Amino acid sequence: MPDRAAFAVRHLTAGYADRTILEDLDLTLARGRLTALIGPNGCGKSTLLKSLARLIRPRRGRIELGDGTRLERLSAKAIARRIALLPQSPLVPEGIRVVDLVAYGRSPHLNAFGRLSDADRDKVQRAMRRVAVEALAEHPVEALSGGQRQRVWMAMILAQETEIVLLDEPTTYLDLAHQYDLLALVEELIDEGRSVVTVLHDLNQACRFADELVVMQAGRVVAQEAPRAVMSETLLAEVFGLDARILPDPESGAPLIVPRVTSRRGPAASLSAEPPHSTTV
Amino acid sequence: MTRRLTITAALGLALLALAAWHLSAGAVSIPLTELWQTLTRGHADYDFILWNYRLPRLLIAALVGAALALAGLLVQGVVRNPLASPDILGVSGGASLAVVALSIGWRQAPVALIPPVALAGGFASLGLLLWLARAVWHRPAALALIGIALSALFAAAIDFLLTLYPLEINAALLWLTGSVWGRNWSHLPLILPWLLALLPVACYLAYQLDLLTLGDDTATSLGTRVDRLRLVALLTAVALTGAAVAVCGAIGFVGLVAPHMARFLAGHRHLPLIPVCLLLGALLLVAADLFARILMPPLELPAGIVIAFLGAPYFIFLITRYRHW
Repeated sequence: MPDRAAFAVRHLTAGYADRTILEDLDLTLARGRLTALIGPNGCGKSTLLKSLARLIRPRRGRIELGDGTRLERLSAKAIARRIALLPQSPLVPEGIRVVDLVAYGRSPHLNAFGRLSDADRDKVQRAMRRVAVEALAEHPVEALSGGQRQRVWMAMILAQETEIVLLDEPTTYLDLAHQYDLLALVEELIDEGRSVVTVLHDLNQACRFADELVVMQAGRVVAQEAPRAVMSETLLAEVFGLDARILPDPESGAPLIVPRVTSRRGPAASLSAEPPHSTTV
Repeated sequence: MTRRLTITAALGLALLALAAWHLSAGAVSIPLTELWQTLTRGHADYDFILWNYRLPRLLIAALVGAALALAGLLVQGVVRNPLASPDILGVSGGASLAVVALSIGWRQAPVALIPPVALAGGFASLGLLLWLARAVWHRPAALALIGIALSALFAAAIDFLLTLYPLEINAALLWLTGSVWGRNWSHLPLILPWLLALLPVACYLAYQLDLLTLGDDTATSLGTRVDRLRLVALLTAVALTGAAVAVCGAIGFVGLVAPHMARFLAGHRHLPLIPVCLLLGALLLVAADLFARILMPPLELPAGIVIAFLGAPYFIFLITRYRHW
């Protein structure tokens, strides 16, 4: 068991009642890093994330934390004190205020009646300040925009104070500026020494922000390395069925994926003369 | 916080006032001025009627109403659907069917057998529901829909038995409409211990039910054992409903309406909702029984009918005000 691991996945077979998604999966996820799980739809990345969060139980095999503790040996509450999860579309309880939602992040640390101590309230305040929603504390969550709402959920996870944070496509449903706000916040979590594992759909965001990519296809891990090492035109073609070029991102040097799709407007005349409204996928 | 305390206190006072009215009104009217004296020091004219008829009936109406309301709160918390209630999950229907079957199968069945049979019927129908819904256990709406189908099935089975055995069924029919008529001290042990035993369980589950409003995945990741919570809350609700049905027959609407009224008044956290919900359930059924007795004397209407007459319009009013579907 390597000391620098957040998770060690051993011979994991998992899935749902009627079908197996992951079969005999072996994987070690680094501690203190941002790991992005990528792959085409149905490749098993969400199932892997749910297994790490123990939302689904392995049919065979096991998952260990960095200190060698097996996940199944821990109580639900003990897991919740070490691993936080932001699901893809969490339910917002009707009429709930921001501060009350964030306070639910403290629940794994509380007794059965959920009584908050002064220290807990303090942590809730700090979490809200971190993501700049403390001014909204008394507002109903339902009245917030998608970007603000996602920040509130992040505050809840911060209040949970876990060493590991799991995110399921945290940028879906957000407009572009808020997507990058959120990813910057995730980077801060890494700087604080937490480990983050996230499912990401946007490959360019994954390349730009992740320390390591886990590329999955049909329930298997086909590559696991730093973005620069793993991204290749062959991989994109074989795993994603995507014909694309890979350029260095002029902003960061990370791999930038530019699909070669036939558009109605035809291919751009040359790289230097970009059309004024071009967008990258 | 103070708002909730005020509401709880106001409801408590309303219940006291209604209880006094309930005790004083009826075929023999006990003046309110004499009521206190009769209760504390006795009164030659009123002692018998108060102690033997009105007081047990009042207590039973209040306790049954409270139990049904609490059961409704638990079921709505677990199923996360505002339409869910013990009646809709088929629990009341199952309990009723069991009692009807008993009164047909064994005509001389002792009355004391009705409560355990009703309870068994309630638990059996929950077992059936859970078995039928085992594949969609994680989809609360599916649970509710299967419950509705089961309720319809039980109702049809009861109608079938009533048509087949019209003579044997008179007593069962009266019991089925839900009534507090003729209930006495002997019925108190059928409901009070259940409520006393299960109220702490409900309080213990309250915070976890709060967390469940975030959805199964988030609740799990916050350390809640969702499947266990669901099972324990449903079993608690079924026991409360079964006990209530055993005493008073199937009284609909209280379990559906009282939690809605409570949320309307006191917000969405389950722990402070519990006392509000208990008081509202008691208020509803005591009011229903009061009106059942005084609307058309000497005729007594079953409280279940009065509840529906009072409850349905109010429920429609509430729904049209409700923004959170």
